[in-house]
Amino acid sequence: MSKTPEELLQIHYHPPKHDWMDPSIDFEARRGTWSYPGGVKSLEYLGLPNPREWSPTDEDWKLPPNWQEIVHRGFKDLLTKYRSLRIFMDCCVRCGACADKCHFFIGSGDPKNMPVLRAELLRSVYRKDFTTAGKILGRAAGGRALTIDVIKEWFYYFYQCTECRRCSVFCPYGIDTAEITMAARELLNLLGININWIVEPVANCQRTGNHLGIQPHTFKDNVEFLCEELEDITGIHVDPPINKKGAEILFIMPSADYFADPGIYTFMGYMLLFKYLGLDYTLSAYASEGGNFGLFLSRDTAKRLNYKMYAEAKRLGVKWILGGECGHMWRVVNQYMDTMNGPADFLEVPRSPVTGTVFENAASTKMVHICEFTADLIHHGKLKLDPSRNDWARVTYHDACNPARAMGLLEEPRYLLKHAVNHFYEMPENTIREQTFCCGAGAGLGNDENIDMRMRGGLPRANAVKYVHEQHRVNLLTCICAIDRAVLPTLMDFWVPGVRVSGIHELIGNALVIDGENERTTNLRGEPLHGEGEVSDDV
Amino acid sequence: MRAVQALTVVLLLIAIAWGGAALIPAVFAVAVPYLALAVFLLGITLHILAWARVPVPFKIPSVCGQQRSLPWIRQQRLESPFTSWQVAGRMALEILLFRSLFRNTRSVLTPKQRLVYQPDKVLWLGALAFHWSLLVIVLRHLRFFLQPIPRSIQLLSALDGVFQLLVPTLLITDVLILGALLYLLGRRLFNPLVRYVSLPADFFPLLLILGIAITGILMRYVDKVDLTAVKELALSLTVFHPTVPHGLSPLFFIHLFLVSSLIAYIPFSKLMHVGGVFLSPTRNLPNNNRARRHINPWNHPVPVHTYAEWEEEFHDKLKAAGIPMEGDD
Amino acid sequence: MSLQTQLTPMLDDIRRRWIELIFATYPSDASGFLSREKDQFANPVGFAIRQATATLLDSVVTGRSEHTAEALDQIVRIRSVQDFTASAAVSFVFLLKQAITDVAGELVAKDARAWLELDERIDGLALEAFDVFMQCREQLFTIRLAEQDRWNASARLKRQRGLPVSPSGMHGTGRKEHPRR
Repeated sequence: MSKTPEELLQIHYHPPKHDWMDPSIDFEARRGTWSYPGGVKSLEYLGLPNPREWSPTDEDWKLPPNWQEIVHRGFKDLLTKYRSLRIFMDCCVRCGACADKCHFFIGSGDPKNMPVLRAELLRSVYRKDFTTAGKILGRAAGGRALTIDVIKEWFYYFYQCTECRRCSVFCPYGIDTAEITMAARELLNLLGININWIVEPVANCQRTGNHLGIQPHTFKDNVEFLCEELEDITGIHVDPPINKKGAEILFIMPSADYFADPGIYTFMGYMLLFKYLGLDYTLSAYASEGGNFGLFLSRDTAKRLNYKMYAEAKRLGVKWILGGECGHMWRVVNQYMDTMNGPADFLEVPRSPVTGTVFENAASTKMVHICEFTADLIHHGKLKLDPSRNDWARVTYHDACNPARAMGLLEEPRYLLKHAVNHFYEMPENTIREQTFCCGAGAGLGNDENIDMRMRGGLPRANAVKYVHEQHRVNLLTCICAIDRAVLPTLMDFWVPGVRVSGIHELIGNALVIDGENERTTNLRGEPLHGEGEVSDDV
Repeated sequence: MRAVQALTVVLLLIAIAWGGAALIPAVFAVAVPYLALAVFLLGITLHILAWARVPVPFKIPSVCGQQRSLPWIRQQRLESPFTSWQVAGRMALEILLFRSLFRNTRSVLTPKQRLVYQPDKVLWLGALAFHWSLLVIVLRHLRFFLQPIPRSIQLLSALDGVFQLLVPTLLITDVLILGALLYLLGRRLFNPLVRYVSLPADFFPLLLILGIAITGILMRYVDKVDLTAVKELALSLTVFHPTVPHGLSPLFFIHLFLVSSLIAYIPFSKLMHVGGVFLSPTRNLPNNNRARRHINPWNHPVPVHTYAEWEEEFHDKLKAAGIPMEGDD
Repeated sequence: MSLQTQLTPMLDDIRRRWIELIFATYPSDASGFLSREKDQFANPVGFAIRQATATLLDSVVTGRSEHTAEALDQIVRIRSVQDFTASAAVSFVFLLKQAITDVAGELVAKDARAWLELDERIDGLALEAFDVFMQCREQLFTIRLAEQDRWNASARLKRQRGLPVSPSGMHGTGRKEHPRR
């Protein structure tokens, strides 16, 4: 049974035995790098195909008998609906510019995590089924038949893409792997192949209004509870309206912000800011989710969940919508919402009631990012901020993929930080802004059974944080994404202990000087302002 | 292995041209080029039409810079274009200067532990040298098809030959394209990362174009071609009154056949990236999503969970929690 | 002259060979990316291996061990979440033996006693690496638990304050299997 060291080592010297075109994934041996399949109840609730009990480790995935035909027809359908997919299937030259840009490839070394090869997994089938050369020449033309092993491989690798779009920045044709991954996931979905950490939140959100499945009374209870906590710390009483008709602004945030640590402190920041401004706004228990896991399943499910934002804005009769700090939420709001569920002709072009600024850039969608909103306030000198209240923190900023690459929201959050904190340090240039590295857990992959893959995928981001941690003693990683706030603490615990994670409006909340507040001795987390965390400014 | 497959096909093409031209020169001088051109034009038209027929349901630019938001924040117009003109600028940078390939930066730690960024621009330079040389060479060849030769083409050729080292003048683009092709090929063969992802279809066009370039250069400097004969053929082809003059060398036939193969191959291959780059939705759309609504032509309805259904399901809980409901007022 | 002194000028070569052998343990790295890409941020895995091997080699040759724990952690932490079994994850330490014999085989053969000493130090390092590996794997479990706890932060806070908690959250159903190892 026992092996000599030589034997142990020997087996690893060989390069991959097969050509990449012959797939075989040993799911049993690769636990920690894939996610559990979508639950029956959730699929049934959503009316999605082929709900059944199954596991990727099973030999038989219990697919419908005509699965090949289903995929072929589905593929054809997508090719007639999305020019992006058609073009991206046709015009890759395999120049390799994208190859080393994927965080999963960097962390794992697995060549199929190179964007070019991830796309080839789908493209090879496209060639075989839809191009003349591929039909005739087969493998010589890069074509590959659709077998059950190919399907299993798709499941493995298209749930190892976080749709972060970093590769598309470097591609000379703008080939966007997110488009390819979305297409592949839609095809898999036709066979009932998906993951529970996406399917369940989608079902929850469809039913209750948010991913976490929080029902309206609990929503209210939670909001009130957090406001009491906030009052304990600041002495400021906050009583946010819920489902209030006729408010000027509907505020929508990711559900993790009123539920999960450390998002709840960002929530307190929002509440404090609105109180300070005397804003006429309302929360909604029906549209109680900013995020949209539907996007990670199919564009149809994205549309289903997103529907609630405009529907609720219309019902409540608000003038415009303000959105909280969330990454993929803003991919949907910025690039999809108006097209999917617009036109929002029942709303007005957003205008800040405090400064009078009209947000022309949101003239059609009528939804403003809270960083844009707050940056405008600070620019007009409307906020009294005491950044020294954040002196316990030495701060860096992680650009969330979607606000960066689907929006270009780069300067606003930095502007906020520069006014809310005294110690701010950027991470290396090729890891921020449009070149930002993903947290490794976006697009529905932030589940705990996928932990090994998350740590691999998050390594490039963590490594850049480690650099500023060592160089400038950075101890706080800020971000404007709810997924980030959920998963980056775990990533930091593993790779860069000593660095914590917060949203930006948490720091705004700390720094905000409000009439009638208690003298602040702690931050919103209830930790002393001048404690161990604080360090002298001598770097 | 994949490179060998591709090389075999190219050698086969050369053999066909060599043997065939000796037997049936008219076919190789006239029929093949016409056929290739027809396949090219038809193929590329159909392909572009097929692409253009597919709708663009969503506006999905890959944004590479600061958006236009508040007036006092500087928008990066070419990285995150808001207007059509700015998109045109971004596309021009992409198409003419390969902006995206230029993005590769490498961080390097200096001995003093400071981070500096160095460009990693070899691929960018190689690609740029290749494509621009190819364009100039194609334009230069227009002198065979036009009589009199336009001044602009003459000027281009003169510029190209500005380093008059040899007789006949050594052309810069000849050197550049050979160098660039060898670099691109070498990269596919020796850079393990690129080799791993390369298909026969990646080696084939490189080898084919290399074959074209080499035969072209040989005709210019070594086994000199009868230029008047070539021009006679070219002109006769353009007026659809083909005559095959005497004095065309086997080398010329090989050159012509490889060129014909290349242009006929374009519509069926990754070389369609020429067209794709113009139509790529992540590059040719403005980042003004929230200001201008984009229409999806097939925007079909989806099953939604309305407020009324939601209120009905949670009615008692809403009531108990004192959350306002529709019937309230 | 001691073996250690004789090895000193060869250390760079030994280290290079060792790194080569470690990179070869990545069966999936067919692309040669690890060795090719030198950027610290674009290739953190390759960078960590390059950096840590220098410290480890130094400690084996000199017997000084102040920084070995950190250096081992640098490599093992990464390998603990990659596609390796426990034995394969720490096997890279033994590869140093091969690297030394590959580069300085003749020297080593001449001085069996000195080699034995090095050999023992490498074995010690391997055992230590195994400890680090176990710590990393255990840590993965504790941070997973901590993450679950954060997902329901308000419930935790409420419990602390003795308030009732209603069941809800991201992780209700659908779990059929237990995590590995």
